[in-house]
Amino acid sequence: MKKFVLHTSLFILCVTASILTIFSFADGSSDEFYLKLTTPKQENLILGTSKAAQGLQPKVLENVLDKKFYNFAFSLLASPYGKTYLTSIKNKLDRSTKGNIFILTIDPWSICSLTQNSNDSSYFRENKSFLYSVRNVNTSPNFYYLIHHFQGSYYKLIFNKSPAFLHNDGWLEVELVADNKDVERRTEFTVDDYREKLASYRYSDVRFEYLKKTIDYLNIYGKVYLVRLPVHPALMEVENTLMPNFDSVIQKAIEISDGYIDFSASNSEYKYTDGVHLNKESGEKLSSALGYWIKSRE
Amino acid sequence: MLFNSIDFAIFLPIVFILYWFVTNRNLKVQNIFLVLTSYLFYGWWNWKFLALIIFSSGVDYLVGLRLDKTERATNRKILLLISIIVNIGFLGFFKYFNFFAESFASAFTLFGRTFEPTRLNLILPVGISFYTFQTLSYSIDVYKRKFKPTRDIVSFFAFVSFFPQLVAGPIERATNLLPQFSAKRTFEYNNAFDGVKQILWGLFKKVVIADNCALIVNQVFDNYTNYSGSTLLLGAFFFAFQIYGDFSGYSDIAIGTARLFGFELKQNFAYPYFSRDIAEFWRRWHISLSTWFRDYLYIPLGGSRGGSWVKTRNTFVIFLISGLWHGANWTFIVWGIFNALLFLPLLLTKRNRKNLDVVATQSMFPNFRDVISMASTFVLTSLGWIFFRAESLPKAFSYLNNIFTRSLFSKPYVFGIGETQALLIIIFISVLIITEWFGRRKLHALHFDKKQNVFIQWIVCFTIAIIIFLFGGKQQDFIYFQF
Repeated sequence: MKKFVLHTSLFILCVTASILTIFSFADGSSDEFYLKLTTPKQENLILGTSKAAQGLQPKVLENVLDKKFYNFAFSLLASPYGKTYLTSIKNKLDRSTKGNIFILTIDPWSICSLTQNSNDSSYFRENKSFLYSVRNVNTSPNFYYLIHHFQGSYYKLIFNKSPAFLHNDGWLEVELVADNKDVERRTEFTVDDYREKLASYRYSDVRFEYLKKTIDYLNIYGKVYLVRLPVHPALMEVENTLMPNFDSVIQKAIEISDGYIDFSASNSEYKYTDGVHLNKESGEKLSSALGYWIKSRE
Repeated sequence: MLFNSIDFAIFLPIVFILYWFVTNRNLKVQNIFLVLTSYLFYGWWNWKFLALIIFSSGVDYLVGLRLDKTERATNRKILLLISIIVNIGFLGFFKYFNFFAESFASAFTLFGRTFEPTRLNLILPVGISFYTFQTLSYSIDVYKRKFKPTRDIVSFFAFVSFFPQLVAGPIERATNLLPQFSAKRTFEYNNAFDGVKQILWGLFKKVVIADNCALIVNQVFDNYTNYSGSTLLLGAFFFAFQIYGDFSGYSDIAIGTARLFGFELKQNFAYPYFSRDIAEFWRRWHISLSTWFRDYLYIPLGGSRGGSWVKTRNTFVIFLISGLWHGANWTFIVWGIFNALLFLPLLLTKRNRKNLDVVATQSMFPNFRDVISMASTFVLTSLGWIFFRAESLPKAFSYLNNIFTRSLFSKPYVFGIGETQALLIIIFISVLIITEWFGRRKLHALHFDKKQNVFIQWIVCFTIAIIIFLFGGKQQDFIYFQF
């Protein structure tokens, strides 16, 4: 018996050590979110969905504003405005500092719900996402996330050929074929997909209240700027169908913030990987423009 | 609690240590401990349904005792009937109420009348089909005086609820399992180590084979109208491996776990995809259920002793009920009928017991004839699995219809999940086939020769554990949990 216990203990020890070694391979190429849940608490945050995750580059903002930024934006599924995202933001924010800058990207989708009753938060889509259950967003390695929420098989931690790379500052760099035809095809697909989403998305008072709560909360620690990022003109039409009077809908949020800038007027000046997300070069251009706009208001 | 969960990975070592080091001095205490841990294991899913198991166990325990004291045939029949009504009643209510209500309502529409059937919002208690059959077999065996009922209530409750096989079998007989609760268990290194190997092999089949195959299978079955005949056929083959990996994997983990505690459960799968005809397949697939139906239904109905009509009737009854046992859906019934149609010609021509031994007993590789027989049996069972997997009968027939088109001869496409992923699945299925082929004469594929160096065996275990961790697919529920 003792021999068996000794052998199995050694076996479990070796397997555990190997698993920990494999987990140590997790980095920015592992998936689109992992690294964001492993860095220490941050001061200046970029918030929103995948549009912000891919489109806003902290390094560019840092060059203009001379402050270190952290991109803590995730995806439309995980981080629309709501209790889940606000809790995560609170966990990520370094509350020992003040005078920070917070960039909140907003669009109609992030204040809409997929539920039959758009204010029934018990069925909000993010309740099933990793952001809901991962309470500790500042630990490395983040075993909880790796065990419960890592998508696919773990061999991908070692051999990954994903076109996306998550930088240490939270910016998600996506390298897709930039060939015009491919971009057109992806844009067409995305626009169709969002058109289909129109039928199920509804404006949510609860989400909008949480947007305001997020602004109120962040106001304690610094200045809050609201940004509407540009999208492909075809997608803009879809967004306008969903919420034709977007600016007036968010008016009360604008009033409690330190400023609002809408880049959708210059949609055609930027290039996108799929109609929704800015490509690398356009992201850099927009981050710089946003940085100078904020600088002008500081 | 799922075998492939972290909860179970923590639960098992703790129970093992307490079982062998704390409760081992007193058999009764050890059995009480097993009952409690088994209830904890089951209650992890939904503790409310523990009442069903406890009630069912209580009824059969008392029925057994009364049967032992009663000599009058009528009274004995009544007692058996009580056991059958309670057990089948629970099963029928939870599993089949809605199905029969809807089918009854549909049948009425044939007479030009429609009515809305009463549907109950029921949760199917996990494993109810398994433990119901297990406890029912006890009452029948006692009634037939094949087994002396036990007076030890703890042993009996432990027999019904034994956690390794409680929710998905193997369906044990009292004759095999119950006496093991009455005897002192002794720990044997080789047995326990073999259990560990069997658990790992089961996990490999479930996590690497079944869960990865599920990716392709779900994609193909959910969008079957978009795929060519060849892809659909391949989808059915992948499902054949998924369900085999899923269910035989569960059985391996269950048997291996039981061995860690000094119990020997019956083999439930004997390399069924190496069968040379459908009769052999059914002797090798879900053996504990097939033999249950054989002993408690087929033989009492007359078995294959009567004329062609009796044989045909009994075959259809067995396969039909077997289909219905799997699920309250017409797809399972048609799956049963499909298998009956494959089995019947062999039975009527007395060729159903032609292949009783292991394929290629005397040689390392099969001969050409065996290869053709195995391949054709595999193709036929895979076609049958389409009914098992499809959501409805129209979808199953449409899927089948789409296979047999010109596109059956086109190049299949399974790379929607990514080329690397698809390639890996094919590699691991090959590993499964090769390993099981070389282990086909043994109780499980990793059952090594005793002469084999222990250190090398542990290295093999370590390699398999790492492969499971690295290449395991997205966690899926065990398919047979729903039965």
